Amino acid sequence: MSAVRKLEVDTEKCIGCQACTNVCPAKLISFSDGEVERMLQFTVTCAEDCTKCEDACSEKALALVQADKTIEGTYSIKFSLACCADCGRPYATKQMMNKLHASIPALLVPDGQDWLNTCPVCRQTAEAKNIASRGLMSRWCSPDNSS
Amino acid sequence: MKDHKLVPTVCPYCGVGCRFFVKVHQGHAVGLEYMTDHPVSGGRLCAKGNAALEFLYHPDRLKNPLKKANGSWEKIPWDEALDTVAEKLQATTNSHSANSLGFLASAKCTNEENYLFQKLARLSGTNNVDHCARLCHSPTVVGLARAFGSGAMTNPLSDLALADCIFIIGSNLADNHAPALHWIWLAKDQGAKIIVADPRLTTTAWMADEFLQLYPGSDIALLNGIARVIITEGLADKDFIGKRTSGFKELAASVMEYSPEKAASLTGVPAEKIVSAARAYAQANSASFVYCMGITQHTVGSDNVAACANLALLTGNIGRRGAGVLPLRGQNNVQGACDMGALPGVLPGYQPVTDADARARFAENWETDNLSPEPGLTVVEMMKAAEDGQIKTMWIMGEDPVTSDPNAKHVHKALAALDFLIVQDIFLTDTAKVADLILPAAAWAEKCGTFTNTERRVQWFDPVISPPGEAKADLWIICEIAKRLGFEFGEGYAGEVLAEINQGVAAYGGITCVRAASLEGVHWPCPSAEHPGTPILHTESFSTASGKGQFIPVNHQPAAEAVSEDYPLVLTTGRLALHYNSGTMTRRTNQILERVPNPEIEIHPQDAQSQGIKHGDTVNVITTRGNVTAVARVTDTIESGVVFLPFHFPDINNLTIDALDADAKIPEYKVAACRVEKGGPQ
Amino acid sequence: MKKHIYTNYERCINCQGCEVACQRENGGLSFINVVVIKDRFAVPLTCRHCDPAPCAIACPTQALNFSGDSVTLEPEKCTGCTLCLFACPFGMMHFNTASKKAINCDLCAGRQAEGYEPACILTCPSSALHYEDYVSYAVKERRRASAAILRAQPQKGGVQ
Repeated sequence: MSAVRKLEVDTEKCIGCQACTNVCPAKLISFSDGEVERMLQFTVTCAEDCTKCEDACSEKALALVQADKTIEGTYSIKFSLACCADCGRPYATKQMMNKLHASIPALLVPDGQDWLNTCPVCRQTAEAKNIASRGLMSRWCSPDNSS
Repeated sequence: MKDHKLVPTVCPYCGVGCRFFVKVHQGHAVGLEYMTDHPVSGGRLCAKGNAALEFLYHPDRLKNPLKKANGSWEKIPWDEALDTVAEKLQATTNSHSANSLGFLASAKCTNEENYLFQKLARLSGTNNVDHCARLCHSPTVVGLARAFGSGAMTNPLSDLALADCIFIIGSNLADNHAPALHWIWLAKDQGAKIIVADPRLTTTAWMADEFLQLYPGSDIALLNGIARVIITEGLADKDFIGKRTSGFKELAASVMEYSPEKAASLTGVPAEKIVSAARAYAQANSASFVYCMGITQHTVGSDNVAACANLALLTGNIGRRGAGVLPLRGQNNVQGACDMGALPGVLPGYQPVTDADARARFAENWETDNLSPEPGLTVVEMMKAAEDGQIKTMWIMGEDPVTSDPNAKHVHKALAALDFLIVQDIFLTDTAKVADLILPAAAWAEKCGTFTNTERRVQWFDPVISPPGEAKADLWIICEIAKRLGFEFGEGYAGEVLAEINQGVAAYGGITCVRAASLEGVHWPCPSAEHPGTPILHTESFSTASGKGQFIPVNHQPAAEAVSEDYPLVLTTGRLALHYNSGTMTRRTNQILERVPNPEIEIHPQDAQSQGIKHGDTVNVITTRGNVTAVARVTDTIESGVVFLPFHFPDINNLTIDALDADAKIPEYKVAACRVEKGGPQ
Repeated sequence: MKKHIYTNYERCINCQGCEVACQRENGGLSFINVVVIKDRFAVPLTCRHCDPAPCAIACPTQALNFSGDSVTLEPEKCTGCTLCLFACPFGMMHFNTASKKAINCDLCAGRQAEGYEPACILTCPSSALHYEDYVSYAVKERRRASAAILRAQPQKGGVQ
């Protein structure tokens, strides 16, 4: 019986978080981010003997299925990247953000302050601006400096 | 890692003189720990101190004596290097004169090293020994010596916590003496008023209650304007003036023309602000006056310092806790290098070379009859003399004049014109590249000795690790060369040299290794072993001949270089928080470089727009002396008409002017005329 | 009582000493970041060790948990999925590109085990960062604020 397995990804479940790319000891899975898209690339089959990628997948989207033989080549899945509402730069896949929107309690995402729509860098800036505005804004700002 | 030891040291960077522990594991400096009971810093440490260990292990560390041969460097043994230095020094003296020698001492090296270095120069028959204090606080040495009899900071930094008002002018201590801020916050918590005067809205200005944004070079107009308000509103301390000062009448007469309106027109600071600042300073119970390069680095630097001292004398804010004049010294040991006489006009302890008695005393101690009565050349004068061929041979220790001197292209030419240039340093600086002979020195953590911080606090430190390769402590190098010149300097034991200093420098009389190694160190003057040291100066009387503080009338004068149609912007240069001086150490520290990799020019949005320059653009900054590339940092923290460049990067000083203060001989780094154009390297 | 990093924001001067110290203590990554607003205000930002912590809620492997005084991260459980990075409202979770795992401020747990306070706290030249419990810090701040108010009203017999 061959030890080769196919990497099968359920594209409905996969959120493109790329955890699987971190753990594969043979680097059979990789990803690249463009301006609007993330692409995950998988080899069709795997001849290793671990289940690290399966185990790492939080969505149970990746399955290692017995295969008859090694099949050369790769296939890729594309994900739309969410772009930051402040700076416009892509930060995480839309599916990842959907999952976070669903799991983080509404309590922590006040109305009108959906920080989930911004990238981590802009969140830092927003927090810093928020703190600065609480009493430090009088610090030598000329009248037209109010933004 | 429990198997390391903690070795106390003093930070090699600035004049605050913070102490910290280096974690040493198997002879390697692997980390640092904070010394939370240090009286100055309380364990606090700026970014530079935090990253201080990195450069020790940089691959560029000089490890062997090097001789320039056919345009490249050849490693030579120490004996050959030391013999060569001695030969060249002697040959120059024999075929020309001792005054054809030039010595640059180091504000980064220890007291013991600076003491022996100037001793070697003087035993060789010249007073041509100077160092970078010339470029920073020489007006303090001149100006405060005239006013108070002593050019040193009068109170410790912790006294700032006791002030009701702190007047800060021409100092960006938040960036450059950061651990001192703790004391200012304590003062503010008690309601102290902080006044900051600076052409830039610096981080220091962030804590100000009053911010006076004055035009570069208009300090006398501001300070005289303040003096006039104090006098005309009856806020002067008549009792103090009567008992402890001379020259009030002349001073009062001299400031009368500086009405708030006139001062406002000269400085650009609104008249009401000048008046309210004056009232705040004068009405405080105890007011401290802090100043730095914004005051000193002008052709009127000595006069600027006098104007500062006048205010302290006018209001009796001197000689007691919380009240004093605090010229913040920059280098870790610039105070010490000055105290040790690494200056052309004075022997150790500030005794003029022209004073026959002083010369006689040293001649006896040093067993020589070769001491010259002629004051020597200062740093910038030495460069001009080198260019003119009067100085033939120079020995430069721990300084990088090609990077830090003004009108730097001339410096390069000057050094290249020398018959022989010896450079002693830890890295191949731009100055070292011009050398004929390079002596690899140990860094601070690799040797022992004392540094004197800006508070006159002498602190001893022991070696933490060994120097790399063949590098040696500067003290050893000086002693070895001295030996070959026939001088007996000993084998390079810093403790022995300190003992000699105890004999020759009255203020250091009781400062032994043991006392200096204590947590508090010792504030000079400390004339004897039993004397506790002197944290505050001028408490009973001043060190002037009369014992009284001297008012010195001074007048506003324009800077040497005015703006013109071709050069319409005022270029002022200064420092950043992350880098240090010429960048020899910080530009070899990744933690620093990744945060500030390149020079940025601060330019007002209006000035940028008129040249089509946007934030982040590469620009050329041009004066009549040079053209430098920088990145535009468009900001409204500087006024339209003024731009700012940090000098921590190569070639910045190609732009600055070598116009000097007549007495202190400091260059006017703070004012030059420039234009800024969109562009890049040509 | 639980100790937090409390910041007196008026005092931060963007010296970045805390960043450099944290970076040195943590093998090259700093978990404190100073953000400057309008060239006039510097705000040091760190992990707030929130309770409840959105990062811990988002973590699919329970590598992140609130325990004791802080949010702790167990690297063995981390798959580097980066969900926590995007779950942090302050953008203060970090990713170690060498180990390909999330990593963050642990309040210098290693230093604390040896009896030292976090590096950023000890190093801050401006005494802006404080490591203490809420009550003790609040008392300090209230005293400072009330002293300022009293000074401003001398006619009412306040402290001068």
